[in-house]
Amino acid sequence: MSHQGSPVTSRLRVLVVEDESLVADYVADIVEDEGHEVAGFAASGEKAIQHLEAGRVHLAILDIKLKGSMTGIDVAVAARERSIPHLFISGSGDPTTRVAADATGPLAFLQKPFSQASLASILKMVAGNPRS
Amino acid sequence: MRILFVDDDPDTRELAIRAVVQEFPGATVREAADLAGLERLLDEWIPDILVSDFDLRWSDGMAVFDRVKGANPFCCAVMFTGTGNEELAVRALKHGFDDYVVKGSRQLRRLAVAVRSAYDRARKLRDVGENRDLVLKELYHRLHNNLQIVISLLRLTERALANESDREHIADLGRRIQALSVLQEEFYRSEDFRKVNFASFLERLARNLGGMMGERVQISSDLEQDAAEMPVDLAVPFGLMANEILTDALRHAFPYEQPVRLSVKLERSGGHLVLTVTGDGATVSSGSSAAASDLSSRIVRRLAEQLEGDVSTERTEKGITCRIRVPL
Repeated sequence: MSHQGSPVTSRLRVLVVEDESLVADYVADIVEDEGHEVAGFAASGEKAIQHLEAGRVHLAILDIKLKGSMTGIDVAVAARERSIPHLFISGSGDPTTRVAADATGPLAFLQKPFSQASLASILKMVAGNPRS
Repeated sequence: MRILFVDDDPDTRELAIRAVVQEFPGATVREAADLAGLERLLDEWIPDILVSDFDLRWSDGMAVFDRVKGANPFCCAVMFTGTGNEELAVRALKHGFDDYVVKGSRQLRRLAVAVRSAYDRARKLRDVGENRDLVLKELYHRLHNNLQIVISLLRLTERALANESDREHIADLGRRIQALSVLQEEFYRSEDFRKVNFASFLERLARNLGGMMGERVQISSDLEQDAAEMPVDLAVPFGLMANEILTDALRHAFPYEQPVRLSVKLERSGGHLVLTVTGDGATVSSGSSAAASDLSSRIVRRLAEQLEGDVSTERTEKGITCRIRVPL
């Protein structure tokens, strides 16, 4: 049980699925700044699924356009089957893509370019920090 | 392929259908001989091609055209009429018909050719439109991804710097680019690339900037909708100015631990567009914040000059009020 001034927070293991490595690093820095751990990086859907199968992932942050034949939306479906929450980060403004992404029940859809603050606030919410 | 024939005379319909179907074998054909029949048909069936007479007992070709285009804006249309004169032909084409053919047994072949070329033209136009949409989507996607890379690079640079003042300058630069990105997204959303909904932009900008400081910041906005529709050449400099004064108000509030209230007001007043930002808990800046504030002021001043507007800032112990006024 927490006492006043030290709210319940959990350290999340976050999978970063993004094919632009600089953006992946940006995401990882925000994850770590928020006190969480990067469980792994994946630039393709196939690699992301391997990470999900290996377990110990609490949250998946997914770009939609990836290397390989799978999209972030395919990865979201796989994450959902394993009850792993996910959120999207995407530069796509296409309404059809958006509808397909929303159908997977994401925690959020962050339109690129997104600020550090917007991702941080979602991480706070997921970690269950009432002061977020 | 679905073709609709509208004519009072069943014999004419039959001849016209026979001629056109030779050009489009396999097409689904429907006929309408009165208004109720047309309405019933359009409720459940949308044509790709309309062939209509002008002079109908119950309506005229223009009204039929409007009704059918309402159901399918991409439907192409050919008028096939016995009321042949130049004036009517011009009216039909001006109204939006793709072609006009005068009735007559020798004209049936001409009707078929006219329908074919109208259909091919409409399809080509649609393909060009779809292709343009694809290119726009791809460009939009590329632009946003590249902006994300720029912001990521700035953030990586910021983390690598030892000096706090340098870091603050880089963070500000990131916020400027973020503000431009939000504006860019508003252009895209507006579907009219010449205008932007500035109220929506301001709300998102304030939310983004407020997010920097967590729930200490409460932002209230009073945005006059009449003032919100803004042409692009005004929205970009005005948006950048808004970003600077909001950032600066938050920067001044930063040293305090207590909640910060920030209010944003946008209005039209006496031929001017006026943006007022009021922040409480403000203080006189010092150290690295002072340098960042100086740069902010300079950017706001230069952009105000560009728009032939003016800026006033009032600082008191209680807070800061910044007002930008530009002529419309």
